[in-house]
Amino acid sequence: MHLQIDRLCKSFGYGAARKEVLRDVSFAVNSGEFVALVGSSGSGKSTVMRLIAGLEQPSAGAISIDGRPVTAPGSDRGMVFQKYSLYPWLTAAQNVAFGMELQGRSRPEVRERTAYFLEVVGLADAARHLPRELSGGMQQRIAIARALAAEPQVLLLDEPFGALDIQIRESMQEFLRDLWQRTGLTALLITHDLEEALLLAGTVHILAPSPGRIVRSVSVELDHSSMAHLRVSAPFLALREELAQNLRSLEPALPC
Amino acid sequence: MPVVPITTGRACHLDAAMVSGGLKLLKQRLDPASLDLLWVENVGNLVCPAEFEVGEHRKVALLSVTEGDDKPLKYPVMFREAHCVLITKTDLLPYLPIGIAMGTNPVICRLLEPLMGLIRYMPAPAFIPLLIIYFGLDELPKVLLISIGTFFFNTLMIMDAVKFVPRELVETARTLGGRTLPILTRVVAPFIAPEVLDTYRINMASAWNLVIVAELVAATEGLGKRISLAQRFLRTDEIFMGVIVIGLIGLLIDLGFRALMRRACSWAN
Repeated sequence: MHLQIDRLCKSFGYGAARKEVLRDVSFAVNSGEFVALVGSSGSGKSTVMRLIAGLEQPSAGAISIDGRPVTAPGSDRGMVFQKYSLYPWLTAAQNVAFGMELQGRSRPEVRERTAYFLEVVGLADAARHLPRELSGGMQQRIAIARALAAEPQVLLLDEPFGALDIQIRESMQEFLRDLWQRTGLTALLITHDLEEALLLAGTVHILAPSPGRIVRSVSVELDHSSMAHLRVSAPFLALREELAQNLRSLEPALPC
Repeated sequence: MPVVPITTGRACHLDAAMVSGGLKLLKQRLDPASLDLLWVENVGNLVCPAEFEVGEHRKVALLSVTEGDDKPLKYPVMFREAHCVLITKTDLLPYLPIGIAMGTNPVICRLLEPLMGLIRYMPAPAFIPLLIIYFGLDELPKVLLISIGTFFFNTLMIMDAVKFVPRELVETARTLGGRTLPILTRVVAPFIAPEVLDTYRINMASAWNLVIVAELVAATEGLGKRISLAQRFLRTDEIFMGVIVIGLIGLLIDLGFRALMRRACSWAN
């Protein structure tokens, strides 16, 4: 699998109200890679994700998977949103099964894969619970299971832990890193949290705001064997500080 | 009216040269000076005809309601270029659930909302004389009266419910490979179900009122008829009894709806 994003531009509105959101964004994601896009609000990072998902059309530039252009949403690109993404009237298991049913898979296959992916995200016991009976972190794990069950070639994660509090966030980051290592999935993560990006991704692209454009790409070569250790290790903190300064310098100065 | 067919060959649309050839054929059959209006019917998809000029003064695009609501978003150039968009096959609209159609489709919504808003404010009982003249004193005029009195409220309230379906729920289904119809039946419909039941419950009160109003003026039997008979003989006790019975039946219907909601939409409680 090779996801290629080529000179992507996006503007909203016409005439005087026209607002340029993205300018010439190019990068690639290959099978098994974990890539992160980091930017502050207004850097158009969510727009990049929506374009790749096919929920919006680019103003210029191209997106392709293995050479095939992306024009509409499809189950080859699974997406996990920041919030509100589980169907509140379906149980956890029914939510996981939802995408597979839309794909028209057979009942036994749906049942088997649902059980398997609930197991993968460690929530087999919660199968019969409604989303409102689950914590925020559990809900996002179900959303990830649902996206994975539809067998996407790439998993798009749009600030998946943005609505969670800090302790749950940290455990979810470990969960996601672990999931990535176990299943060999391909993931593209959008976040405003530099630490999250560096902990999870092998490649981090920094987006500058207004209009959104990639100003720096870093490949993270750190020892990822223990995330708790990594969080406080000197090379990690040094890299984080360097990139954080980079990000800060991109922000327009506050008016005095 | 003379008509000249033009074949586009392997192209998917007309171009100026083809139209010019067609005009030459037309000239053999009539004097061009006698032409008031020349229609050029272009064919094909919604992409090429928007971008090839064929010497026209005005462009008219035809869009049928069954093509779906996303055409203006998918083919913005066509809808920007057109001087007029004709929406066709609107006779099929009643067969779509109108509230859902209005909630999901901005074009339908803008077309119908002002009209619905207007009719909604016409008092349904004012239609009673007309209904009696047209349909007599049977059940049909009463059913029509209740329809007039509740249809537009129901439709507008369901439309609002549809507008509040979170975008993420629809987009999640789209990224999982869902198409328009499964999204309507499996995402939009279950999400609005509690609101729809509640809308029905609220509007049931006015429907029930209208039953009695209809019976008061145009019935041979029923609670309303009894009340108006009692009025004639000044039997106020019967009137009070009638009003209380009407209220109790209304309350029972309301409780029934609440029970149905608790059972069918337990997730929303």
